[in-house]
Amino acid sequence: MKMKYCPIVLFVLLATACSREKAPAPAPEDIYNSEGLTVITSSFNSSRQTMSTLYGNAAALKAAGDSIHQPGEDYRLVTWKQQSHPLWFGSNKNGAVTTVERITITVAADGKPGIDYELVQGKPADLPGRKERAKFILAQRPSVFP
Amino acid sequence: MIIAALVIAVVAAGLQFTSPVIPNPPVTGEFKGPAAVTAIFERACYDCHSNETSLEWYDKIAPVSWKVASHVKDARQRLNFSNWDSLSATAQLTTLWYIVNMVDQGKMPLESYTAVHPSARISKTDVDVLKQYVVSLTNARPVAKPTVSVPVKALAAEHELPFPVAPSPNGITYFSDYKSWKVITSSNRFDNGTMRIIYGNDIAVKAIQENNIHPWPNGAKIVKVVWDKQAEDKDGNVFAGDFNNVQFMIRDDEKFKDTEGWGFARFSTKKLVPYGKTASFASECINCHRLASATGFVFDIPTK
Repeated sequence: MKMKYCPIVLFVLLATACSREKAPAPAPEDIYNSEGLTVITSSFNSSRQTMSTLYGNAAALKAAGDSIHQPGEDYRLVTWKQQSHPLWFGSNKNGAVTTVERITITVAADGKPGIDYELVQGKPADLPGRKERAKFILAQRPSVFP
Repeated sequence: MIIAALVIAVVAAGLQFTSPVIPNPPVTGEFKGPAAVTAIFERACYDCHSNETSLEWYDKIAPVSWKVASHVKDARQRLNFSNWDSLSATAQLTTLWYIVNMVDQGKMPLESYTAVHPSARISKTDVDVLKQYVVSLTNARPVAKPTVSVPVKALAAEHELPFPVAPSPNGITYFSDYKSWKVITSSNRFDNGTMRIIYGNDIAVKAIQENNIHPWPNGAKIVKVVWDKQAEDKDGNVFAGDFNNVQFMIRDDEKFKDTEGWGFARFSTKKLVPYGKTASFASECINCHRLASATGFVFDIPTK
């Protein structure tokens, strides 16, 4: 009796083996919990093979890219590894988060606005100095949204 | 037994009189490309996707011949290498990328076809030839001067548009509250020079977290915002430039059952002009999104 099922089992196995459809596994852990912040802009870096999205609170969104900042602005630059799109040759997409950097505009000792840079997640070795990073983040202008 | 066999033979022979003839209309403006590329297309695609259909004797026997004739008719309507010059230069390039991806995923040529026409199989080397070809064509295009993003901060911050937006032909209306949703993934494309941020509503995010995407639950909404790329700076950074379009996918397996349960809409330029003349535009969307059947017809979810 058992032998009778063998060809069917074989057929099913073969059919499965022949299917070339790729089924990439979902990676919900790569979704950044933006905690109410909105997207200011996005970028990628072709030499580092990373992708970044700058988030901010309402004050940050208003001031992003300006030279003048006010206490209360809160920015997060989230950077992911870039990978080839598993379902479309012609596209890259983000992989795992590598770093999360935060800038808050505070009141410095002299009463003027101060820039507070914090590396929330990731290795400092991956990035140049804090001052350069702060400058890079604060220079980003908001994307045009409809 | 003998009588039964005779009856079958007579019926089978009679069927042959009903066998359709597949005409080969004139070739009006065929695809022209490098010899290696043309050879692959001719060998693997032309039997169905051109006016130069060349059938084997076993394709001409009814009832198989009926299926073959209907396949060829459909295939020529979708893509015909013999009328290639009827497509605009942009449409030709877009179609080539689509072809490469169909082939790369093994969706084309159809397995039912290659099983009986093994010479039409496309090897990994063939796929690489096609990939190199589309990349070289894309890189050879004159690059438009990159436009630097001119932020419209007031618009970015607000959820109300200062002008009315016409609905998509399938009834989907533009909404802007996606800006408070979570970003599920982002992408940048070297086939068409755009970069994207893809948002999901709570139902969509939960579906990804629970891997509940076969099928996606009703009420899931995904919004993709598309920008042109700016020029690369000296450190290799490329920022989002001009706003290009925004695309919606709305899950309702009843309302949108003809398109695998997804309602599609696209609003282009800052004026948010809806795409499509009639509701049937969505068949174009789902035809391409079938390449993402492994993730419930959604291309851009976070993946390992």
